[in-house]
Amino acid sequence: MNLYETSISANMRPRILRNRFVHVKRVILGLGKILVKTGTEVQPEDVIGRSNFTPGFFAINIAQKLGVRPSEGLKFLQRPLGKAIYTGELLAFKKNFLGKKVVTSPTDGLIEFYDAKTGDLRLKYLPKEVPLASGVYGCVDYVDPIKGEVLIKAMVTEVLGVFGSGKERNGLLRVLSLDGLVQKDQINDEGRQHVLVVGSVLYADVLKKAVGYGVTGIITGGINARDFKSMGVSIDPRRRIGSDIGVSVVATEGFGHSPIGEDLANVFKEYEGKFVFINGNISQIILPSNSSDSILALRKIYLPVTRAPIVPPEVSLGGVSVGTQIRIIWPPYFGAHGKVVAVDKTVTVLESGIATFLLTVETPKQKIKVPYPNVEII
Amino acid sequence: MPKLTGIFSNFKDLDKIPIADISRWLKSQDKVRTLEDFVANRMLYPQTVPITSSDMEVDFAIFREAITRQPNLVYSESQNTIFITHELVIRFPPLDKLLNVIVKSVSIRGVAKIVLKEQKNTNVLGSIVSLPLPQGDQVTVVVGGKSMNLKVGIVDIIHITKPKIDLKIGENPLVMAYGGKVGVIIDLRRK
Repeated sequence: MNLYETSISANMRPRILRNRFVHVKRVILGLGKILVKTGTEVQPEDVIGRSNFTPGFFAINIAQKLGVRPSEGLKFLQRPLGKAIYTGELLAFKKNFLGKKVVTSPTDGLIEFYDAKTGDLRLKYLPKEVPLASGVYGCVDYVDPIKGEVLIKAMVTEVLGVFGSGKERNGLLRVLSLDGLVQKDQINDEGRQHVLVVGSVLYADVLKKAVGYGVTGIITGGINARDFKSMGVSIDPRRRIGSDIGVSVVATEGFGHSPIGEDLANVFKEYEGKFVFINGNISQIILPSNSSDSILALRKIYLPVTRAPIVPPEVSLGGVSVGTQIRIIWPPYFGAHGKVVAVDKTVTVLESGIATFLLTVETPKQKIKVPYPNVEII
Repeated sequence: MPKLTGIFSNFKDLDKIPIADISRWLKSQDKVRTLEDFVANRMLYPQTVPITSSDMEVDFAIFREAITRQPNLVYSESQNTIFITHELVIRFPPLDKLLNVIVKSVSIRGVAKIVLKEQKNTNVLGSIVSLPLPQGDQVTVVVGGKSMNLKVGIVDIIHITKPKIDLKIGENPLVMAYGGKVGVIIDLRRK
């Protein structure tokens, strides 16, 4: 086969789309009020809504702490059911000839229910007023006061991974690692409400701990396929509708151990500490502009408000020639980025028996030869 | 939008094939630890090609399990014909090995034609013959009047380019087999 009779094509996958105009959705938690109206220009720190939100329940085993039978625990309670109690206040007390036992409340809450079979006392966290910040520079384009939703038109950088799971969430971006392995003991309460960048591979133990600590999103180079399947997620790219395991996950390179590509790593470093949006089901990360000047551009843009589901940009076909920037998508050198410096004119038969054209690719570290189907244009 | 795909995009539910079913075909178990990632990446990047022989071995194992579950990808039961595409042949070389894997993965009875489907035409490459076998370790096979004793339990290829040829296996009636670039594949495994 001669090159002059055959053109080389490869898939082209968009990874970074800068200066995009999108609607970002902000939703108040629980019942509350939206404080802005259509047409309002907002900055990231502006409060656009308020709500009263109860973050759930807490259980404490009174009977065990007092050393009594579960059926007897209720009589030692110092505050009746249905009453509020605050951190440190006396919750239960027992005194006899052996001494005394004191149980104080570990949190603010409402004493809701005592289970005489188990000895558990259930405290409902007191409702808190939660402000909703804009998180972005933008213009309010739509308000739904019943659902508590606000759509803000904003200028963003859109980063697209290759695979993911989870609904749209948001949080502050924190980079734990870009190319290493993050262990589960690095996931702690500091990750709550954050989107974490966790390095080259995501295992189930880190994932489960992240869910437990209220991490909203995880960005990783690779996902361990076995662990991901064990969480009940399909790894078939054609079946990615509506999966959610309590945290949104985006893999930027594929499955297995693979550092986050340099192109995306630089973007994540740039946005560390900033408010971002992540949608695992469409492998999308939205990084709103940090500049107030973006509002000047937004004023000139009309973006129709739509409830249609977002469709991510598709992978398409592109021509490969000298100078094309590519990413290698099969081992060896999986995930490496480089520039095509030569295209072979005749086929080579590989060790596997496959006959194909090879590309000479210059990466930051070396020049390598790669079969053309094993690259994607970036 | 058009994009490069590959043979693996035709296989449904690759992620549901138990890994043990794939790994049992591998000579070395080195790759088993990362096999699930391998299969997942094949689904994500179906257009990619294996570079090493060990990667090709894994691809053949996946292919074998995929067509066991979806024989209609290569076999038409109503026409009793194996249809292979040019894409399949270049993706899983050599041709003899590809057909060997198909014979061992798809349940075929009688004489099944092997047809290569290319862009503008089809070519008969040969046939696969699978008939009831007599007791014993060997069986007499008569091909075009020429008799030979073949070992029971194997798959054998007789390279015959004639388009049609008479064939008799053991005490079975005479059948007409198809020759071609591949020839006649005789399945002498006991089922």
